[in-house]
Amino acid sequence: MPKSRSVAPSLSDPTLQIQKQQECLLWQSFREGDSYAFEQLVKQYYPLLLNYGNRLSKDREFVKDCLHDLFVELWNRKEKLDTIENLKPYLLLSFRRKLLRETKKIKWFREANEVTDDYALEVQFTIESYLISKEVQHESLKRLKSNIEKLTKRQREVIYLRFYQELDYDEIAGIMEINYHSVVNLIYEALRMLRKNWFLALLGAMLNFAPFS
Amino acid sequence: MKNYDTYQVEDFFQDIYFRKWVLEKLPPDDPFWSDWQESHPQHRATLEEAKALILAFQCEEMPADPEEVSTAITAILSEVRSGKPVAFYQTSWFRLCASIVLVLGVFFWVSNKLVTKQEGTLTEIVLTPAKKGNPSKERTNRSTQPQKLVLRDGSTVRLDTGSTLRISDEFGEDKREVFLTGGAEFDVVKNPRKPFLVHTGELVTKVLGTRFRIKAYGGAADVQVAVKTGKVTVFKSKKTPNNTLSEEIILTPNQQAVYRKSDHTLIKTIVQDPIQIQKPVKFRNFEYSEAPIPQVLTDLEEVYGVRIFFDEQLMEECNLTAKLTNESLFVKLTMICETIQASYEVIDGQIVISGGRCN
Repeated sequence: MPKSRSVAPSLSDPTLQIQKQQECLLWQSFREGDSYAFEQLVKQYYPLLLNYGNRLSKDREFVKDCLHDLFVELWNRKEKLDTIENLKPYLLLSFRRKLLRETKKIKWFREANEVTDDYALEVQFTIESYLISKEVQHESLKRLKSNIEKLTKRQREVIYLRFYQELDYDEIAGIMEINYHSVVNLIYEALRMLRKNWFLALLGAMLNFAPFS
Repeated sequence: MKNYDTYQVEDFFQDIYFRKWVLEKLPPDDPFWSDWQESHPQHRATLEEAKALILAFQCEEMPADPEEVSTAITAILSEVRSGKPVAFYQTSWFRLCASIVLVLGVFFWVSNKLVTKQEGTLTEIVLTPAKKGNPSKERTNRSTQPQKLVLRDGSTVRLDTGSTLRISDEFGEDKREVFLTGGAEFDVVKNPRKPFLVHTGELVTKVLGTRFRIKAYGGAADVQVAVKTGKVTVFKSKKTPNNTLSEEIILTPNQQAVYRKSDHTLIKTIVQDPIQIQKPVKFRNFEYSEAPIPQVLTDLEEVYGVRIFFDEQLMEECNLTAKLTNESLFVKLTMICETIQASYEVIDGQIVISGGRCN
C-alpha cells in the first residue's frame, strides 16, 4: 500500500495567519483614532453580526439599532479598549451581551419576540426546511423531524457558532458564557442523537427520499 | 497535526478542513481529501455518512439585503464622523419614553374601546394565554361586526359575530393551539417549528403560516376550511370513529375542505368564489380573440391556482373569442363550457371538464 498522507496539512495556514495579523493592525489603528480602519472593521463585521443578531431576535429593526449603537460606542470608547487578538469572538460576545441587555431594558412593554434569558434562537438546518416544505408523511422521516425539533436552542447556537461562524470551543464558551466542557458536550450530544435518528430515517425512507440539493 | 485514520463520523463532521471540502469551499487545486478518500477505501462508509450529515445540517442562510446593510453602515460612519453628540431624540432613553407613551396610549385607546362600545369598527384585541383559570384566554364576539384579535405570536384572527375563540394554555410552547366555535379568518405568522392548530370539534386544521377561513357553527351540519394563501393540512381529531391516517388532506389556495358531521366524511372541494392568485394582467386580462381553448384553461389554472383537467386533443381545434375579465371563476367556466358544449364538475378539489366539441 502506498504510504499516503494521513495527516492533514496544518490548518493554521499562512493566509489565515496573515488575515489575523492584518486584523490586529486594523484594530490597533482604529484604537489610535484612524477612521479609515474603523470603516474597514464595520464593513467586514456588520453583515456577520447582523446575521447572528437576527437569529437571536426576530425584531429586525431592534437588532439593527443595537448593532448601530454597538459600533458607535466602540468608536466613542476606542481609547479605552484593549488589544485584542481575536476580533470575531470579541465582537460576537459584545453584541450578544448588548442585545440581551437592551432587551431587558425594554422588556416591560414588549409582549412577544423579545430576547430574554431564554431567548429564542433561530437556526434552521437545510434538512429541516426540506422536511417541512415536503410535508413528509413517512413515519421515519417524521420521527427524524421531531427529533431535530427537540434540539435545544443552546445546541442550535453551539452548532451555529461552531460551523457557521467557525469558532473554537474556547471562543464559543466565552461567547455563550458557559464552560468549555459544556460546549463540547452540547455538540457531541446533539450529534449523537441526530446521527442515530438520521441513519434510521435514511434506511426507512430510502425509496422516496430525493437528495436535497 | 491530525491523524485521520482514527476518526469517527462525529470527528469528521467537526473537522473544519473536511467540512470545507464537502461544502466545496476549498481551493479546487487542493487534492488532499480526494487523495485521502482514494487511498483509504476502508473508511469510505464513514466518510459518506459524515458528508451526508454535513450537507443536511448546514445552517440555513438568512440573507440580508445588501442595500439595507450598506445604508446601516453609512449611518454608523456618518454619525461617528460628524463627531456630534447624539441628538436627544436618538438617545435610547428618549426612545424608551416615547415607546412607553405610545404603548400606554394604544393600551388606553383599546381598553376604552372595549369598555364603551363592543360593536362598531374592527376592534383590535391582544389575546394572550394567561395563567390557568384566567378568562382572558377566551373571547366571544358579541358585537355585530367581525372582531380582529392579535395573538401573542403576531398572528391575527378576524372573529365573526357570535363566534368564540379559545387559546390553549400551552400556546406557543411547542405548538400554537386554538379552539374555535363559529367562523373566523386566520392570518398565521409563519413559524415552521411551531405549527398552528385550529380545533373545531372533530376536525383539526394545521398550518405553518398562511391565510385561511373556517366556518364551524355549532348548529350547522358542515365544517368548512377554505385556504387563501399557503398550504393547510386538515385532519380529524382522534375522537372520530374509524379514523385513519389517510384522511389527512392537504389544501392549497382556493381549495376548501368540507367536513360532514353526520357521517364524519371529509371532502376536498373548491371555494365558492375563488380569488385570483396571480395578476390576470399577465394573461391579457382574459380578453381573448380566437384563442385556443386549452390556452384559456391553462391561463385559468395559473391565475386561480386550481387544477383543471380536460381532453386537450378534443379541444385542440376549439377557439374562444370573449372578454372574461370580471366574472368569477365558475361563471367563466360556465361560459367556456357553453361555447364548446361541455360540462364541468368539481371533484376532489379539482375541476374536470368533460365532453366538448367545436363546429
